[in-house]
Amino acid sequence: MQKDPATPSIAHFRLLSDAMEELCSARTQEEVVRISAALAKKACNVDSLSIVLTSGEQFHYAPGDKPDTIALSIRSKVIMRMSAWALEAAQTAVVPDIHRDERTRSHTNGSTFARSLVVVPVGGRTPFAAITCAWAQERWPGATDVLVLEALARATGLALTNRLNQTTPHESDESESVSDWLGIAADAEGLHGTERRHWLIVAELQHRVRNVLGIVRSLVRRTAETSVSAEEYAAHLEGRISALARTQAFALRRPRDGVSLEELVDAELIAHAARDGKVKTAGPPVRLRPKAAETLGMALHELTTNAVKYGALSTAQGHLTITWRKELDREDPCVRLEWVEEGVPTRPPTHRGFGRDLIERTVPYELRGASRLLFEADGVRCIIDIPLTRDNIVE
Amino acid sequence: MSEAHSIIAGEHELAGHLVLVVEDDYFIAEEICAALREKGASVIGPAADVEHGRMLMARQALDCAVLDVNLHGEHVFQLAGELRARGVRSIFATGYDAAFLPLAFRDAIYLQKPIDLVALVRAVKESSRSNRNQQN
Repeated sequence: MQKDPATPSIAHFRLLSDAMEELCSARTQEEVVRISAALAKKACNVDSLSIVLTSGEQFHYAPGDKPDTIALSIRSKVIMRMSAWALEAAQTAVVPDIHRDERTRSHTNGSTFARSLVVVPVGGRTPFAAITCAWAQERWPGATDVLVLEALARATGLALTNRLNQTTPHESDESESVSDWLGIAADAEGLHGTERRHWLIVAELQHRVRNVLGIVRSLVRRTAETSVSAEEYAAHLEGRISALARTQAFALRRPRDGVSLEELVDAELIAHAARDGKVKTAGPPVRLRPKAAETLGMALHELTTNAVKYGALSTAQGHLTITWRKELDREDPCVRLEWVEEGVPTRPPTHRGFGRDLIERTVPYELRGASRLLFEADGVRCIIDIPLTRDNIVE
Repeated sequence: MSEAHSIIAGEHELAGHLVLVVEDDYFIAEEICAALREKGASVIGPAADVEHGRMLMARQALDCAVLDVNLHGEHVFQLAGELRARGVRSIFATGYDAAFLPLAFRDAIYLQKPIDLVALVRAVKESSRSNRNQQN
């Protein structure tokens, strides 16, 4: 269809350079959308502009609409279909007539004003957005139109991501944050005020409950695999579920303030009635993020259970020292927790149980830290390093 | 015995499938990986965060991906978009309701947590590139 050679005129260049400047000065995403739609109208008489970001955000705006009527969800099936196509193919799609194009023909039954489309994916080989220019009438865009709209779409895409990053100076990854995404979902539902807050809390709670059930199920399964008797199974499982409940309670109490490492250690010892003269704990104040507290809490539970059953807390002469300190003078600063049992001869276990996975595998996987369990002649030692990152520690 | 038999019969359902797993909980990740490996799939990962998932994605020609949505407070949709751009379909395994998925991914397979492992295997089979090509 593009038989005419692309020959952008001086006017086109001027329009595009104006576009860059205007888009750069936009302060919000909505402003970017409005400016871009107006420019597309001016350049190619485009009737509406729709944007689908791979993050799930959507914008739809027709110049001529009132300024506050930017729709945050796109109702046109044809535009959604072609956006998905362009994102997947990573190339511009030109649809002169949606009723005749085989990509759109079967999607035209819904309500849509659009008749003709140019859809431009933005972001090179891995597009992050598809920008659709639509006309209400059948239209055969020339090669120049397509070039100009592609340039405009790319400038729009960049401006949108810039806005995304600028509006959130303290959270550089905010565009990928879950709270952001849920906020968008709440907006798409048209919720405001108390209702919106309520909806968000329910969403988060639902997520948390189902996740915990997933963890419980895997605890049930793995504990069964490694228990030799029904009694042992019941005892282990009960202990682990109680520990999970404790760490959950800690994590939810004051999520923003974090969980005190000292309190976490104490809670585990108290739960095993193991706080008297046999145990010493010491360390500076450290506040863990909820996730780090959950992971560490489960590891501490396993260590305590073992100490009570076979280790330092199972005999009169054994004792346990738990210390932690911040290690700042290393390439990867961390909080190092040392668990030292003394006065109990130990032998390395003959098989690797689930409890050991809980101690040694979860910390590296979930917190990007390290955890080593050592069976010394005098008792068990465990060294756990939790990286001093914003993901793990509240400053 | 009949159960053991049925497991053996379907043992290699996913043989030759390359599946990326992104999930931030160690035990849930392990459960997913074990279920897939049991059916003969090759698991790439598991990755606990978006960054690691992205690195693994770049190195292999994947058949499909099983993605947790909330990874340490970061959502997975950007990664899912990048996978889609490579022709890789994503299966979302999450505690969030399906209604929360962005419209761009409403056509993806969604599995509610705790995950039904039989449904997971079926979903991987349906979503894999190699099977889609056979159908075409």
